[in-house]
Amino acid sequence: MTETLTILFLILVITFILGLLFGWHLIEKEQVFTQSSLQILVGILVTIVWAISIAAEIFIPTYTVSVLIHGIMGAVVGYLFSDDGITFNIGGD
Amino acid sequence: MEINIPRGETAILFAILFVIGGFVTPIMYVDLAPDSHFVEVHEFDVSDTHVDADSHIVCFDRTVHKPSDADITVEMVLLKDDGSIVEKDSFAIDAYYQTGRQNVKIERKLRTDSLEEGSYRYVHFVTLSYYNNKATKNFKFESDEFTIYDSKEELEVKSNSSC
Repeated sequence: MTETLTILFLILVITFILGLLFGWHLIEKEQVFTQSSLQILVGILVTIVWAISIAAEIFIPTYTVSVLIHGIMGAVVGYLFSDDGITFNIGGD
Repeated sequence: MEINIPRGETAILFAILFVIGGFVTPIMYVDLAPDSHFVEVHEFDVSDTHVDADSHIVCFDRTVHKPSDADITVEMVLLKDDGSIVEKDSFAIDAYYQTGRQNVKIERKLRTDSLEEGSYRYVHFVTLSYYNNKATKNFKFESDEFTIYDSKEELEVKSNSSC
């Protein structure tokens, strides 16, 4: 059990580092992506994973998603939403 | 008037929205989805019997698509064909709601001493809970009609029940 957890943890860390390097490469070397477009892309991907996790909870009887995971996914999407936060314009100009 | 929510607070706001969405969506599914997504009843038959019998067989052929995660108590009500309640009892039988298709057959004791001949049916009530008791759903299943005959001899001659 401990061995499996260690392997999973290592996979998680390696995936995270590869993701960081890949993201950095896309921003610095490729002209197609800008930082903000990548932020939006990651935000959309996390939202899709969140929706899939809810569907999995509904349709797989033994699968439960922790409230903490929902919160972390939401915080990531919120953080990536925009650099300046959200601006509401109430009552026109 | 412009209101700006800074980036950190936007993250907190989204975290709260995602938690609410993750919590509420399964509950809404339980409330709104049809009963057949959870339990599908193929046949609910009861064997015919006679007025002096102590028990008879109840056959509940069902598929449970989504198992409940709590102890289940089934309530069975025996009704006459005019709708009047003859017997009512509650019991827990795990087999009733285990996952998958199963034709559950139980021998049910008849407690009424003065049963009259005629047509009867069972109504079976159960409340199943899902997602760590976050949501519950009530089910009501009605059996096919069965006959209680005046004597054992009449039962043997006339009955053609398949249960």
